[in-house]
Amino acid sequence: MISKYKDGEITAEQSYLIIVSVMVGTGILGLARSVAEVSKQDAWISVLINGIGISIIVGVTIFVISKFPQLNFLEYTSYLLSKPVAYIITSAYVVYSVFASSLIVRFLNEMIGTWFLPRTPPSIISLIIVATMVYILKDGLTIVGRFNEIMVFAIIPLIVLIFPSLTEASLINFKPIGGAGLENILKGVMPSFYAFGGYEVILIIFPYISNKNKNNLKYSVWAILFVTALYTVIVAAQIALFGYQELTGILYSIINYLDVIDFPIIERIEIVFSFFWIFAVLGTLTIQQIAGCLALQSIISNKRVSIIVYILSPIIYVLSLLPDNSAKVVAYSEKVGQASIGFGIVLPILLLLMYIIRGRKVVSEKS
Amino acid sequence: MRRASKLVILILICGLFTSCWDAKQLEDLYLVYGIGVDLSEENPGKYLVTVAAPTVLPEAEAPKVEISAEGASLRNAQDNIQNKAARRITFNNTHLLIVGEEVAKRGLEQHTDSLLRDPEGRGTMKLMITEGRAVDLMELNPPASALVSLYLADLLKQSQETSTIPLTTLRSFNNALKTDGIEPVMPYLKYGNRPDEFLVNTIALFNSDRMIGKIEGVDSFLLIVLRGEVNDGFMSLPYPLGDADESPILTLRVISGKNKIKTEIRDAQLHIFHEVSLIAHISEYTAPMTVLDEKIIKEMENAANLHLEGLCKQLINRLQIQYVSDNIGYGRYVKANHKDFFDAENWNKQFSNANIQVKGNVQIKMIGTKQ
Repeated sequence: MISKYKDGEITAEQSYLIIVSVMVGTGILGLARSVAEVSKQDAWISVLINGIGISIIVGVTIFVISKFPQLNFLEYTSYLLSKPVAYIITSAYVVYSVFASSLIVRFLNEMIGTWFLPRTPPSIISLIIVATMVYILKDGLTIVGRFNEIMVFAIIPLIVLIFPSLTEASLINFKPIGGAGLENILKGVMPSFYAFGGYEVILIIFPYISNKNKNNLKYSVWAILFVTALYTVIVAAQIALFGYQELTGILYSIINYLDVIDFPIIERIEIVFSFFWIFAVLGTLTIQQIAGCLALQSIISNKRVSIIVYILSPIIYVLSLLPDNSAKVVAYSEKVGQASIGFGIVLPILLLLMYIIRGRKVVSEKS
Repeated sequence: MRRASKLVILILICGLFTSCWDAKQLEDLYLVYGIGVDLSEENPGKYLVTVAAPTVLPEAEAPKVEISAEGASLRNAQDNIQNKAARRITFNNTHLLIVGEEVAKRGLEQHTDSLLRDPEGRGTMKLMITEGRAVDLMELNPPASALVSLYLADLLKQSQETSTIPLTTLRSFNNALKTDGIEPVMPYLKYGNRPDEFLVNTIALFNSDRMIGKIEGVDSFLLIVLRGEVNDGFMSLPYPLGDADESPILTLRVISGKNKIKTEIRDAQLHIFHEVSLIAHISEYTAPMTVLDEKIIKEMENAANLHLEGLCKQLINRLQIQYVSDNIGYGRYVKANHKDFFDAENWNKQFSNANIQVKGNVQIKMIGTKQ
């Protein structure tokens, strides 16, 4: 479906797909492991709680920013939080977006280097990924929206591939349900933030939706709930198969999850998974980075986003190569996950509070 | 300038078509189908690893090649094997890991690590222990297959389908190793009457990653039943119950099985109630009498239940007293139901002190084509 919208705008439907596409990416690889390390057999509950919490946050976010339909991120945060604070937050978002994008590139690099091209230098793999990203981004948000409209279908094979390995799963691995304790279940919410991260792009892209309507909030929340259901099922399936003890020892558990039964015809099913997963990650990468570019564009009042894409891409490329090893990449992802809490939770709540305190007045003055 | 730029871009794009420049042809590779691990005879601290691969080329003198090398670990020995091989060795297609009994007694975790860590390693790779040394087994030429490893992989698959042995893959072994409340098991291969005749009706028992003993014959089948992994298989008993040499034999073909395990702590004593439900068909009854009678079928079911319960009790006693090892996996249920009672470090001791009651529930559904 080709949108009629041009000049850096997207449709409301594309925005829902963008939310799904940006969330399903690199975080899915180690989600079950990182959460199970904390909340053990109840990791799926932590993921479910996180998803429900995030859907509420997204509801709040859209509720607030839909009151400023004509303003971009910098402008509406200026109204609600004052201009200097808005500039600081927008700049911080650009930095966060660059770091998050470089992490996505690095994760993709690790995956390709481990499974497909072990002898290819990481610098070459990163270069190809960043070059692809630049090619998609250079024409702005409209093209990214269309690209992700197609790429979101790469998630379907990932869903289908959950089922075959369930023949080896055991429900006893879930028991005792709640046995990890409420405290650990709630603590387990934290490590799953990186996997859910990305939804905060709605703060940036919402103003670019051409046909805003009253259903934006409802369907955006449904998009988050869809991802929540997908992640909960994926984590639950891995716990049922591995048990939390084995699971915590597997780095990319979703790939090992597929390597449990022999498939007919397809000798290495994980390669098939990786093929679709790479496209899903490209979707995440392009959205994450276009949001950063749009934020920077609003600061420097530049009309052409392509210039910003060309400026930020080399930085992303270099940052993606900085972590020395896989352990540092995982530590890096935890830090980015923590930063996403700032933009994904703290900022929307702050915006809501400021809207309640002074926003209503500002909106009525504006109108 | 514009034309020159286009030309440069075109040339660069052409570079993308060279992605297969270093592709290896099949005849340039040794596709390893089976790996054997033994203790080195000369250096007992080292391991002797043997790989078997087809030669592929029709003009080759032998259809397969076996290469052995010593090393401090499996990966180290594999590297040393590469030094002896004329082609690049690849483990992408490895279907079977054969472990010599002495190595299994020493511990397997260090060997499974490299297989699990390497992305080339397959989680579905089958694992088995062999009587004697793996290197001797891999040199054999079974009449039905060019490669003994492929023949054995098929043999394991067949025996697993008839519930004589468990299907132990690299992943399932690692799962039992890492999970509290269950100990691993693995098929154990014995030689038959001829050197190239194999017998697969024995199960090696493990405590953690070390082999501690083995059970065979009907006990193997019962262990599969108790672990809830029964697919198919046969159970023979004297009917009416009595001396097996004098009574007629009733053979039941088990079609499917289901387990229900309940646990209870009473007066600080762990009680485990295990109900084994089997759906079976009469496969053979050697007495000249009709079985097409509801009462007789009921009596046969009762006899089968008593027989099953007695044999299961004996097997569980062996696991509790002789081996002190929960290879059935009761600990997973105790851990789930009595979190405070379950002691992961000392579970096998708790298991050996538990009161375990097995109740049979054999249901005969069909009697075959004879009355």
